[in-house]
Amino acid sequence: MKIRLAQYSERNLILDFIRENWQKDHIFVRWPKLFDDYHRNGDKLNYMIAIDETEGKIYGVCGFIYANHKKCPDVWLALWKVIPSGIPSLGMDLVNSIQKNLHCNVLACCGIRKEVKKLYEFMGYKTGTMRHFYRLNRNCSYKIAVVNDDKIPDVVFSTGTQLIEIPSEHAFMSMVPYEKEIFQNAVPLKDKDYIIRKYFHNIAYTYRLYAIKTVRESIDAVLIARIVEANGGKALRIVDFLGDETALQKCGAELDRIMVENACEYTDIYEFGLADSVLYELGMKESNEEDSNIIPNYFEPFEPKNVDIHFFTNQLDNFRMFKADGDQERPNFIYGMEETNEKARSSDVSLCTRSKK
Amino acid sequence: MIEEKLKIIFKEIFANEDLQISYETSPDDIPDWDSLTQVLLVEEIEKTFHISIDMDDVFKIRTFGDFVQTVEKNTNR
Repeated sequence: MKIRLAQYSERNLILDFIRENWQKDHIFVRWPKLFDDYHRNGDKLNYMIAIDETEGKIYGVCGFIYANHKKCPDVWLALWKVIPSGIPSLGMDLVNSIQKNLHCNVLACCGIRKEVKKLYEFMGYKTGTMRHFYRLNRNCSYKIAVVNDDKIPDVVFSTGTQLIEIPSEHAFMSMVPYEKEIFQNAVPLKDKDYIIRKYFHNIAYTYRLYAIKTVRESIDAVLIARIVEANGGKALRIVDFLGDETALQKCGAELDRIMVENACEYTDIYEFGLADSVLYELGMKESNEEDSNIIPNYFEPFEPKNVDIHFFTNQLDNFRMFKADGDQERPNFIYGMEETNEKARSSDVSLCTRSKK
Repeated sequence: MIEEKLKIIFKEIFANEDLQISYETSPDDIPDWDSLTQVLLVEEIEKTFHISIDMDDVFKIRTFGDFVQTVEKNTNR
């Protein structure tokens, strides 16, 4: 059994493995172009595989995604699956191989199963659960959220802080001083290539990026969001955040404005690492066991239930995590009219192609 | 004695009182024996025998017999 990085020529072998051993209608199986978008790296794939070279059979896979390409990069793990091979530690061997081969500075994963937390802790990683915060739009009918308590925290309306939309990658490069320490000190550090590719060239989703301009006229942070729709309603999901968190805390009124302009019934954020005070001053409420409202996470297909997102990381100091990290923002529906396989042309709503949102 | 205690642990972790276990028993015989159950086995074994098993050894264990030898090695220290 050999554990090594996969070649791009082995892509179909990996997709077959996913289909046979993980999920037969997995989005990667139905939309191979998405798999390439997430994991192609020239003539290689960002996948560690455990393969019996004589049989040509794969016994385990572990995908990964780079946040940056430094000498010791920051990396998130993605799909991880092994099948019986006679080697009980094969799953752990795959993860260890990624660290050994890539010499990661940060190695983390957004969206692990609760029951597997023990495994990561045994391997020396720290685990946690992201916190989920939200803010309802006033004077709104709620079609996505289930609202039993419609109290909305007050926010200060004239902080001078503005959310200015960043319409293109060129605008991002010119508006955002990304070389500043407040951006470069992030853990993990998402480099410009990552941000441009993921948020301006995404093959499935349309993202909205907002530069946070403070009263000092400086751009100290960037907020990244996506509008989702279900049941005839819309929600503004904050999926990533870059920069100084203190800039975020003055944005409550601006977030309200954007919600109203886009007819969104609420805005939410899954996060780890932001100070409580930032989120409360932003006017957010925490979605937890004490809260009687339902702020859903799954939209493809829509499931009206609260969901916890668990994670692991090799380092907690200054560590932040958001919903778009790793592969948590991966679509489950196929978008656009790009390459699809035959199975996507079925009447099952989850397999239909959709217009890019 | 070590072997008997280990068999009890195996049956508990795999929730199967009728599990047939020999020195050669491996994940080929117990499909649920994967990384997660390996960790659960190690934790329970460390607790039962008051030992600490090196990570390197954890990765090398592939059979019930390997567990027996590892426990013997650690209890003879």
